[in-house]
Amino acid sequence: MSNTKTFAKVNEAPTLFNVVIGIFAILIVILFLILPLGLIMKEAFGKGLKVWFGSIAEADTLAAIRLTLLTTAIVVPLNTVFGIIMAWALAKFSFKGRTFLISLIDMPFAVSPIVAGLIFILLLGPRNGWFGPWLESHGIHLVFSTAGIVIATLFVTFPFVARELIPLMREQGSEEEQAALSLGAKPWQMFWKVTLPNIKWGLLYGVILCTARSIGEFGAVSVVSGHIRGETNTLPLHVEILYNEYSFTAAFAAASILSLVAVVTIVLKSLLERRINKGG
Amino acid sequence: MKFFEKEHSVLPGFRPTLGLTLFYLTLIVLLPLSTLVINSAAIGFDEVPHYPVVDGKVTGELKYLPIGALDEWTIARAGTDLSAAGVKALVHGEEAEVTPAAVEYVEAPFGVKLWSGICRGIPKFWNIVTSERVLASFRVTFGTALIAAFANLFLGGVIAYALVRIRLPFKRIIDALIDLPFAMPTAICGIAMATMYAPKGPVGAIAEKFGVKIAFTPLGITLAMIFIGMPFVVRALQPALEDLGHELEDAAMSLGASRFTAWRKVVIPTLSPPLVTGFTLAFARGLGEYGTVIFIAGNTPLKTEVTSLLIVTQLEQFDYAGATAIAITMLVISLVLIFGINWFFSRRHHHAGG
Amino acid sequence: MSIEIKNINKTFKDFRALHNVSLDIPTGKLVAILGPSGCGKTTLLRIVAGLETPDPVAGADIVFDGVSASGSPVNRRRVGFVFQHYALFRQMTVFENIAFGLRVKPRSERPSREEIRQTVHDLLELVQLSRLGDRYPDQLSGGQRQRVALARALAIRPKVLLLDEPFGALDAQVRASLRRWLRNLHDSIHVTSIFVTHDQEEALEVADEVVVMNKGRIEQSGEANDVFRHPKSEFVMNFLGEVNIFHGRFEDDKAVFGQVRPPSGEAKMLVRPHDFDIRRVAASGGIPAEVIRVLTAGSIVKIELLDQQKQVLYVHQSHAEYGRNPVRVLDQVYLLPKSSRIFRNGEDWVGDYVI
Repeated sequence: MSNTKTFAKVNEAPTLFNVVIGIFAILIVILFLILPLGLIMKEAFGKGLKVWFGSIAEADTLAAIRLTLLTTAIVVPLNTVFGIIMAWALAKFSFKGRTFLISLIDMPFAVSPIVAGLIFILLLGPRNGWFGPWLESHGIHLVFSTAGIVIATLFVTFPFVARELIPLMREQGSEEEQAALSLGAKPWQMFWKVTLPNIKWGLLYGVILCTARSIGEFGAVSVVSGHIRGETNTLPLHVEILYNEYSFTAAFAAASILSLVAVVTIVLKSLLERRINKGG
Repeated sequence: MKFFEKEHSVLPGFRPTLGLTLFYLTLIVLLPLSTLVINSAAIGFDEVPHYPVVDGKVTGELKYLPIGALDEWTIARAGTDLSAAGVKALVHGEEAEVTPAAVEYVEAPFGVKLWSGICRGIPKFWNIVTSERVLASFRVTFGTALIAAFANLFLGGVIAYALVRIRLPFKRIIDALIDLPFAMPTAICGIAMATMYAPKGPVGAIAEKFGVKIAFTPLGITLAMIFIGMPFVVRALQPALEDLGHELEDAAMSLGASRFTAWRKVVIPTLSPPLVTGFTLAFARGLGEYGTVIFIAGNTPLKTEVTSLLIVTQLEQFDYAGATAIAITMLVISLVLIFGINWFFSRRHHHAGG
Repeated sequence: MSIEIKNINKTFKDFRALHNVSLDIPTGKLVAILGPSGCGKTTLLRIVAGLETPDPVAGADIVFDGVSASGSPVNRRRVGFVFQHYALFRQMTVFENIAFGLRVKPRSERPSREEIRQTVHDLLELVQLSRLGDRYPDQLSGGQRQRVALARALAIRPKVLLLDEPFGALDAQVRASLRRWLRNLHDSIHVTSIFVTHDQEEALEVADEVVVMNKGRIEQSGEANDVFRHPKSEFVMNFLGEVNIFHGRFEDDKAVFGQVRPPSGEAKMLVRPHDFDIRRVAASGGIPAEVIRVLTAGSIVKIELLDQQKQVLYVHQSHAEYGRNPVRVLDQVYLLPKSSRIFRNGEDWVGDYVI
């Protein structure tokens, strides 16, 4: 995806061809994007706000929200800090093996979420996993528990921050850091006062995408979670359970929260893209 | 220059950040991913060859004992001399000294174990991934993902063109909305698809009137994959179209080409790299998609069961070997396809460019 | 503060950027390191600053005022370094940029808020940007950015000031005025300064001393005037200004020019365009040539001629000189070198010659 999006001024008089294409494009957007979003909202709020609140306030739903927030609160800071660390090593220095490491960072995007879940079962599963039996004998249950959900989410959201920062930092070069050092700055002063302000918008962009994904991750989490209501159910998993139990109103109420998060995400993303385009 | 040895730079922190990078990458990505490869290589090693001992004598034939149940027997190590008075053996998993008569099996040598593991693994793997149900899931998944990616090439192309070239109302909002499938949790997309295309849903009902069933058919899967893949094509094309501007088209038309010819001969070929990128990304996303698809797919084995769902089913039955074999096959096929498409087109592109 | 550069070598992968470079720079001088791109001049400057490390060769050292700086990293060397593209902190105002070096000092050495403000204001005044303290770097012109970078480097009261192609990214007019300004600034603050440039005019005009570098080695160093008048090698003469080159060969300890042109003459005579007399009649040592173009627009008159080997020669005359004997296109004339230098395999050669 590119951040360098600009809207070129369109000065031509609309031709018939362009009018037809324009209408067609709007139809596609309505049919494929707006309609699904609208449907969720209609199903969620169709019976009034009171019913919606009632569905949300259910104990299991609240527990699912809590678990989702907890997971996000662990995953996002970890992947942010390590994202910055990885970007520093991979963007500011040239060394053999650099491109290989960058393509490794992208791996989680190339792997299906289900396969992502599977590999953690293979690694940590209590019976047949590589470390599962050992962990189990020490009383550590990583899979079918909150920890498993956190680990799987760490994997699928791993690339977002680093991937956003590496090209940005590469493009900015390291002259400003060198200047800071030559003016007597210590490494941490250089990082806080020069590097971080220069990457803040790109960093925020990556963090937002990472947050959205960790709130919404379904496939990988579904595999490693034990699907225990009120305990190891994140909000997306809870939506699935409610839906499969034909509790549609409750399912869509929960879904509407997640949709709102998604809408906020795309709004922030689009605002940030304009910010990044303006420089910095 | 050695690996991971940097060119000189005055900037601080190379060693610690590279160290942490390698640590985190290994822990979160490399180690987990390697389980897939190693577990599928180990697929034939679930039973271990042993020589049965009858009356204190080793028989020549091999017997395969399940690896999880080895502690049910008394087993002597490979090459143990049974003619001695007392031999060391594993009794219920613990080392002890026993009489040769008490020994039930002698371990096969390492080479034999390895060879038998490989010989048994390959057909076992093959049987799993060529079973009727797995093949059917491959057909459904690859077929629908391919059609969806092609559809997106067209639909995404139209949207990208409209966003770059046409004075659309609410352009910023539409532009932001393109990312909705990225931002929405897949399960939510899934239930939205199911509701929309259900026989009583707003789109499903109309289709029903024309005698077309969407939900629980491959068509439904395809539509879900179109939804999830569209942003890839739009976002790949948008910057390229902007960079392109009007010049190329105008130049071709100034040389006497019609607008249609200009597009066919000049613009589309120039746009082929981003088109291929968008197509490949959308295709790959469709192949691995789970949440968006499962609610609308119907999940009937042999008909509308996608591969990722099949993997989940295998896991729920604790058939880890089966799940692993299917997963790695899927991963390898899609990586080969993706690299193949990119390689093929980049080669053609180079030829076209001289 | 004096700088001694001792036996510095630098190798990038297979490329030897610097060969045994040694140089003494006396206190308070403004020195230009001059050379074509890729000659190692910027690398040398960065090594002095501590932004690069020299190859670990015996005797390699950078010494400030008798104290070795080799062990201290760039952030402890207290050198003011002005980057070619300025490297201003884009997220900070001009004021914050200049104050940076003071604000990152350890608490015990850090000046008070008020002192910092005063220092920055003084520096802004010095670089004539008093009213622009609140601007961000991307709101400034190239010349203004250059001066902010300089003020920022001066804020830490550097022991030495190092400037990498300080005028390289500016357009011609700004360049000329900044040159004069830098010279005046140096005369008022007297901090030992080195600047790197590929522009010989800039070096000769601004610097007290010039160091000419080529292919990682120092070709010649000395007072600007001295180096210009007495170039030690063909490269230096060629690099320090326009020259006409005559190829010849050595015969019986004499250099012979102007006859049949050898495929690759081992003797070369270099004559600057202003070192020719133009004669109408044949003279001994005169080079017969035909005038092909005369340009009288500008501060000097530029005459182009074609000699018998069909080589184009350039002669520069003052308008007064030209007025005494104005040549026209197609005139047949004789060029008499007033002053010339002969080089044998690139090295200075003194002896008789015949044309």
